[in-house]
Amino acid sequence: MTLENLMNIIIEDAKKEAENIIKEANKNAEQIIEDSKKNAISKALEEEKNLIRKAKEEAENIRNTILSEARIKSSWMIINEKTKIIDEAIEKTKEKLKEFTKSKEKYTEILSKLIINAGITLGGGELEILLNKQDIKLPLDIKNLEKIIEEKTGKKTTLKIIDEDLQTIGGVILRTKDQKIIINYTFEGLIESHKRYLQKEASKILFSE
Amino acid sequence: MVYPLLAGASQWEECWFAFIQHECRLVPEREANYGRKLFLAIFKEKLINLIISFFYLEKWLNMSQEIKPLKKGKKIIEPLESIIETEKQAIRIIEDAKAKAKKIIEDAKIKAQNEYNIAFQETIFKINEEASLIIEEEKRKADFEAKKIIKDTEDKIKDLREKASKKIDEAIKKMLSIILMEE
Repeated sequence: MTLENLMNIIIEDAKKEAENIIKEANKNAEQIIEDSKKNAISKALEEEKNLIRKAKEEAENIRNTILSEARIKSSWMIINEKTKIIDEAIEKTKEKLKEFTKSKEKYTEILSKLIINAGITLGGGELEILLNKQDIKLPLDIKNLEKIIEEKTGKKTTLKIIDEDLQTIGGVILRTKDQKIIINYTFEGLIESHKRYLQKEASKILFSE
Repeated sequence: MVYPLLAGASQWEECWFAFIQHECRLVPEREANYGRKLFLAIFKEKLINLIISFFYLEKWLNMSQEIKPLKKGKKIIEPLESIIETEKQAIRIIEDAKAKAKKIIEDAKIKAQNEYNIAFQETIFKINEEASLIIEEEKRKADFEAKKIIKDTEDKIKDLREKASKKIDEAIKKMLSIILMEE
């Protein structure tokens, strides 16, 4: 073995060792990267439980919101429909009242009753009667009405029909002479003032099982 | 790898290098006779010559012991320097490799961090997709149920109207009696 050979061997061995070191380093590097990936996945999977739980909670909230909205909408649909049915019934009642005004005798009787009630409410005295154009022509016994009111209130009463062309399907408006107090017993007025009660009573009948 | 004359070399190995040195420089003459023969024998690569070479080597070894230590040191100093230089070169190669390996590991750590982030994000993305599917599925079911509620309500309303239509005359009669103050 020559010195040159020996030196070559030394260098070759060093190169081999260097190669091994690099090879080992590359192996370790690959391992480090691989381990890192595994750790990342493992860490992410730890988060999975939490994320899925939150997703389920969110899903439950969304579900509850959607179903609540649907139930509320359902309730409103029923309420709206009931209101519509009642309104239709009230409209039909108005039509019936309009028809009723054509039955002269019965209507006159009702009108007289309304005037007496209004007169009593006003406490008698000098009162004015407002009627629509058709009702002015009705054969109302004014003297008799004055007498009944006087009897009920104990106050001298005079009733005077005022021609003001009242716009109503029927009924009467009674007012004091000084127009300070007015009683509206037109059918529209009566429906309006009794609206809540009418709705309640109609609802009882229409929607009872 | 054993590096003679550098660390713990045996006497034989020491002599081997001394011989090489001797053959290169050919001093002193007494040694040269034995050394030259041994040198030639080795390079002929014949077993018999090799055995003879050992014979000469032994003689040379005995003879070389007579050489003063200072003289012997001088004889081997030049090849030693070459070997030391080579050794240094070898160490540099290894050190370079170690530095390179260190760099590889450092780069790998940086890459590993990036890979970690990517793998984490990708996995989280997949989980989020799964979570989204859960939400979508629940929403779809709830929408279906909600539609059913509305459909049921519509049916209920139809039924309600039908029943109400049968009772409307009674309701009108009642309202008339209220309006006309018959109650």
